[in-house]
Amino acid sequence: MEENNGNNNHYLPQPSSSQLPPPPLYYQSMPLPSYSLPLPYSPQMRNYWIAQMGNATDVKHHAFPLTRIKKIMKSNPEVNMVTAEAPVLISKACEMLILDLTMRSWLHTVEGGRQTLKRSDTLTRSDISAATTRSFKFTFLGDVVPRDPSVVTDDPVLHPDGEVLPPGTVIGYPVFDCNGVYASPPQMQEWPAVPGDGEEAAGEIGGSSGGN
Amino acid sequence: MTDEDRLLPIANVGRLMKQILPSNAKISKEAKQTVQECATEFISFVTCEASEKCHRENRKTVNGDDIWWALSTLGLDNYADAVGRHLHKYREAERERTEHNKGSNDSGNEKETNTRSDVQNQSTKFIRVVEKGSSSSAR
Repeated sequence: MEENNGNNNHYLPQPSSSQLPPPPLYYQSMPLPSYSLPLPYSPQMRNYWIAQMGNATDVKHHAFPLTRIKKIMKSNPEVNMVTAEAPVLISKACEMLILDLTMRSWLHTVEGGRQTLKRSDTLTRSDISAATTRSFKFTFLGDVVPRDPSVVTDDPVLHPDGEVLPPGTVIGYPVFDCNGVYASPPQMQEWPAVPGDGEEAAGEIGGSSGGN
Repeated sequence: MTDEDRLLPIANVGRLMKQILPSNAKISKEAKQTVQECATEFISFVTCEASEKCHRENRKTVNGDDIWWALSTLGLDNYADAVGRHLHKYREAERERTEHNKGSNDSGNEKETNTRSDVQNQSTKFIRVVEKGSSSSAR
């Protein structure tokens, strides 16, 4: 198990400062937001993304056949024409998605092995399911990979006041104010509350105001 | 379109997955298939967003900037940043290629004119030789 854990960093290339090209003016690189990285594994993921930003990628080499990508793009009836550069970028984005998803899944495999005290070195569908559940940015994969209910998301929820709450927290907004008068709920910051929460809160507060 | 054409090649997907995992790691077949489906869904998802932008702006062609914009809009900022750099490099490479082609075409035209004149000279020499030969045989 220790070997696995030790190996986690060997596949993440460390960028040398000499390799980093100057960023183009219209795509300024921003500091990586901490909430887009799984909290227990920030260093690995951060290294991966730094390497991605700094990689002097070969634009002539593509991870996937561009004709196949173009076919998939054109399977959408709304898409009429596609420039030559679009499939190239999609290929690059797909490559990053696969590497990102695989890495997150593997970290979950290792974590699972550590918890059950057995050596686990096989990446399974359930690991991918857990990886997609752990991050909000993979919600679009909900139709392909069923979300794992046993896994809590690693993305911290932002409170309306800007305070970061612990992972897995869901914010519900009361429908009534303390005087029992209907108040419009404040604007949602990041993610809407679970449908049941608002109703329960409304029922409780409504009941107490009715008693008065 | 067959089922296979609808998805990215599984061999490429598996190769990429192996590339980032430790050498002792194994990948189940269903894991590869799942990631393959995820990648295909991702393409449709991003393309749909980019296409909607084109539709709003009354354009018919989806270009690289639309893809970059779609990734940014969908909250995939890390992807958008890396793809933006890739787009920049791709356009630079294309510009260099067109300039190189233009340069080679110009030099090619010069060479062509030179070779044509050489051929003409050779043919006239050949005609003269033939004429000389025929005149000497007539004598």
